[in-house]
Amino acid sequence: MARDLMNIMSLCTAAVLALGAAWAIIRGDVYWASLAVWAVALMILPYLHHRELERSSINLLMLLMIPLYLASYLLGIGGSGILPLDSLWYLALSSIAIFALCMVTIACINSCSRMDLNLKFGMQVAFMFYASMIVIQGPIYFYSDLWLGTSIISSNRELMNYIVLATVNGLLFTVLFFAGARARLLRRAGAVKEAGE
Amino acid sequence: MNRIVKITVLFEVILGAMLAFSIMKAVSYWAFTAFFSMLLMTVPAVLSAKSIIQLPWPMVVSIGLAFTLHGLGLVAEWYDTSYWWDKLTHLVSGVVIASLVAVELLLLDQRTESIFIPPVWYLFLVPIAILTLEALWEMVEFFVDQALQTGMQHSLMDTANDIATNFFSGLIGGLGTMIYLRRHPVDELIANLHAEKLIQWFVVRFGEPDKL
Repeated sequence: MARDLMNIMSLCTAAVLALGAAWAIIRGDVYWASLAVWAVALMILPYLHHRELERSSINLLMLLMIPLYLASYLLGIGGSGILPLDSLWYLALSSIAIFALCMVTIACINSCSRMDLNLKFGMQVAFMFYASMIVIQGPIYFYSDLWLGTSIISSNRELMNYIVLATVNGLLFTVLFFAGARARLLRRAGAVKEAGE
Repeated sequence: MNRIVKITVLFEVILGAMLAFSIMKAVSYWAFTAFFSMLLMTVPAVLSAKSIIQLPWPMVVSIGLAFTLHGLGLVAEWYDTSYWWDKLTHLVSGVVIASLVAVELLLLDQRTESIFIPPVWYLFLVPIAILTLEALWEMVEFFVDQALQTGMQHSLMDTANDIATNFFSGLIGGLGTMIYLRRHPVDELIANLHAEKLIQWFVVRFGEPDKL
């Protein structure tokens, strides 16, 4: 029953994200459209190819996808979006959404592919992935403004302010998630040891 | 004289010529850059002599090439006259850093039981590592510009193109690593690096690898 409910919620979130992607494409927001497509793929692919996969990471993604949806569909900066790139609201929403997407992608890669990452290195890779997704917005938005006629970045200072603050956010998220996940794993390992004794 | 020392000497001569030219022209920035490049160029040979790590010779050539191209851009003023020279130097430097990142990932993979990186995933890990380093570099440039009123970041277009160029150099580095690892056993490369001392340093410094 709980599994069915979770499946229905996943499909609803995927549908909402698909709508968000379509809207972002219409507005010429290449970056957020790609992110929404990526999130939808991340939710659907395990259903098709890895049904045996433990789904807690996907469920976590579902919860954290809400800010992504808000950022890309309602408040997104592309086309006639409401928020400028260096606004604190955009910074907060996009940081959470992109970090969640990157972290869950790394978790899925770790589960579905032959690559094995321990917790420490996995979190480092998640942070690098996040930082690269932040910094790549520079050329994407610059060329989007140039070729697609959008007006997203107005100055180098605006871009750099965003990169600096978003990177600091990512570093904080990484440390917090690492500490939380490590404590949880240690607790679990302790419980298993106690049960063995 | 081994191959790494020969390559180092060759590039030291080229960089030394640039240093002499810079002093003749009395341009301190060029001279300082050439001198600093000469110092850094000795690092692979020193690391090899101290048996810390023996970088593959193509990597040492790439390091020398990166310094030479940067020096040439300054003394011949190609940075000012050719728009693409800056992108070329960024690309070459990016590929050098990408190959160093790949070596570090290989060592990490080898020394840590709980990490396994199949060759194809270098195509993902190397570019994101390079983009992260690029983000840090752009931040350094930004802060230096703010603090000292220098002009390290010329414009939004320059920043955007630097990021794009380094992304491509990360892709080239990742692709090269993947192709290399598919054709050669990783143990062979690790053995040729003679990096036991470096690995030992890692273990002493950071303790046994985390298995969580």
